Amino acid sequence: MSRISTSQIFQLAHTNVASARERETQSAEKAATGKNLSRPSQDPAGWVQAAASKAQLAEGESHLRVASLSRNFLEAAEDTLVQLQEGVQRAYELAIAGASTGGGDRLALAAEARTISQAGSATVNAAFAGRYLFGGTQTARPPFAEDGSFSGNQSPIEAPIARGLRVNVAPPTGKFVLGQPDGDDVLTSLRQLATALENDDVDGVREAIEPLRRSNEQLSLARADIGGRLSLVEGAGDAQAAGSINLQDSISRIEDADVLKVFTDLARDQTVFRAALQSSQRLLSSADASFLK
Amino acid sequence: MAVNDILEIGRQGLMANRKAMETASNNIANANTPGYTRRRAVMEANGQAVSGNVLVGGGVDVKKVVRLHDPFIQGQILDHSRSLGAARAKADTVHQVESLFSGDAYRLGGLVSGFFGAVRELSVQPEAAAMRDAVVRSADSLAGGFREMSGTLERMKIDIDARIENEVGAANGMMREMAALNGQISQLSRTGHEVNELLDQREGLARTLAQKLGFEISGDDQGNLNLTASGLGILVSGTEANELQVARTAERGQKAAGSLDISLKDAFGLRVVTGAIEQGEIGGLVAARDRVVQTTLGELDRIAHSLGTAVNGIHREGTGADGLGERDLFAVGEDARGAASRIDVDSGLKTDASALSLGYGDAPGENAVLLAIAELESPGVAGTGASERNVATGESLSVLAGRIGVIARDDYGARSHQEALVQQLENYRESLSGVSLEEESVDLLRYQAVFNASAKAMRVGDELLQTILSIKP
Repeated sequence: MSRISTSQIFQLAHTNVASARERETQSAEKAATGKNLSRPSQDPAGWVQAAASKAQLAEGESHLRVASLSRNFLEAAEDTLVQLQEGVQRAYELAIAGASTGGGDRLALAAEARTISQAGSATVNAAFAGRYLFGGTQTARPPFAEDGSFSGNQSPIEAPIARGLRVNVAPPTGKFVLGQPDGDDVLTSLRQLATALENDDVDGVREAIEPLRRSNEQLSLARADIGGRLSLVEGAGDAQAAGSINLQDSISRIEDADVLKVFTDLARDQTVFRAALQSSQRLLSSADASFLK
Repeated sequence: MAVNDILEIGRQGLMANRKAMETASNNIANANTPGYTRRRAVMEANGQAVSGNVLVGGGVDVKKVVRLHDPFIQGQILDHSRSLGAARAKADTVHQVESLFSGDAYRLGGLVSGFFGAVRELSVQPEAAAMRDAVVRSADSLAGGFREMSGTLERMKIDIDARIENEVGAANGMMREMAALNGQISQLSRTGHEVNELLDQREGLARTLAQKLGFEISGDDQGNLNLTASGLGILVSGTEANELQVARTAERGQKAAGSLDISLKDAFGLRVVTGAIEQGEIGGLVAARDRVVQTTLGELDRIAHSLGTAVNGIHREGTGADGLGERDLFAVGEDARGAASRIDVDSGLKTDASALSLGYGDAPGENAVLLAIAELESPGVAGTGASERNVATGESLSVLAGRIGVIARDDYGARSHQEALVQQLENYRESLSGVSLEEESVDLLRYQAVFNASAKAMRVGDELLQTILSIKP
């Protein structure tokens, strides 16, 4: 038979109450924070996985902000191209009309054609958020001079919209506005028509028709190009949003406590703590040797 | 047997049982005294006396008061106390390190993401001065985060060294006390005195020393307890105690320059014994300082240096909004050692964010440098050309936190294991050496009954004597 000393009885009572209290406190902390994992030692592998997911989530959110900014620039460029194309379409109509009408009428059309040409020059010097959109990376000054000469460049401004995926937010000025290498310079086409109409030059007007038609096609292609990039941005954003939900779910599964289980555990641990107190009280009451009086 | 013998036997009964009651009372009084070993009065019958032709007893005497203890269990407790001291000290320190990577205290991961996010967002609009400022501010916060964590770890090392110094000082005092107790016990034992109190005192001291210092404690033929550092020297031998000293020394192995080393000073001179102190609280503190705190600092330095040099390598090649180039973004230095404590944003960049490199040309929309820096964040992005000099700072920090988590989990487990083992041994010890109030109370009643009966015997003897004396001749 094992001998039990008085110290052991008190020690046992203390240990029982302390361990019950510790379990109750742990459950209460989980219930209060809703977290199952608050320190790396609780689940080192889970902690690393959650930290990696959080970093990926933060990176994804940053990509989403980049995508949003990129979309703003691309939409501004698209709006500008729409305006420019509307001008070109109207100029094409003026050219058709000018080619089949008398001299007096051509002069009447010339004023509108000149206005469209000037508006076209102003349009391609459009700025958004402090940036001249059509100058490539030369974003600080208007890319087109009054005479139509281009002082920008055709360097892309790439924006990272997802991990390993970039989109060029600079509009394709060279190919679709300047008509390089074998297309038509849109602004030149507009100016040629206005000049031909002003000079009542019916041959010049007829010669301007085809470049304007091709310019219109170029601008359609430019808008399609921008539209494609916007789709890419939208797609990346959607994928990122879906990925974020998955990541948050993954983090939650690692870190968050099962509320139902936590409150069940808390109720159980509170009961155990009360039982430990009562049993310790009984244990200690038998240890005071009063029975010998 | 003469009537006087009845009186003498009664007296012996009174004396012996009073002494036994004293012993039981002393046990009761010390029921809560830590390390107290219960005593038992050993009674023996005193020879034999002849009464006529019949042999009767010669009374009783308390020959000695013995301590009820088991040297084997005591040795086991000493052994495991050494491990428990180390496990507790290490776990407590690791808990502090782990806290740096837990909950709200851990900001560095978010600061890394914040910096790369700001760079990435600036890449869409590199001409935006406000966004350039945001990048510089986030770089400053990130560098501050590294310095803050490094500073906390450095302060931890200083605190550990202060504790080591205190513990070594306390251990020296205890070693001198143990040598003195060895002398007193030896001297009093030779003259036949009770040394139970001193033995208890020495056992308690040995246990505290084992828990603190972790060296081997063993008894010798003369009844001394000696303290030895195996293969290195003797700390306490009989009545002689040597001394441990601490001094800040150069870097050695995992120990950083300027951290404390512990040396043993004896007749042969001064020898460094830090490496041999693997157990006990001091051993645990040394291990935590060199293998956890210093290693974490080293890893943090490596991550900060790797990040700083990788970012600078790209940044130097680029041109800022002011048209100038060949400048660093981070001031981090060449040497990785101490990088986390000194990393900062370049002073010129702090005052003028236009010095931030954006691209490789001077056009305001250039962003190739920003794109290259942003890609340093992602671990191994295929096809972007960034993987060769990728630093994956966030991932490295997560791995570091995970590694500390593994160490902490192991150390908490080791502490719980050692606590359970020592508690188990304490239970064994208590079941033999601990005081039971019920048992002692019963003993008191038992001795009191015999004491009363002995007094009765004396009274009977006295009455017999009076009867004899009243006989008239």
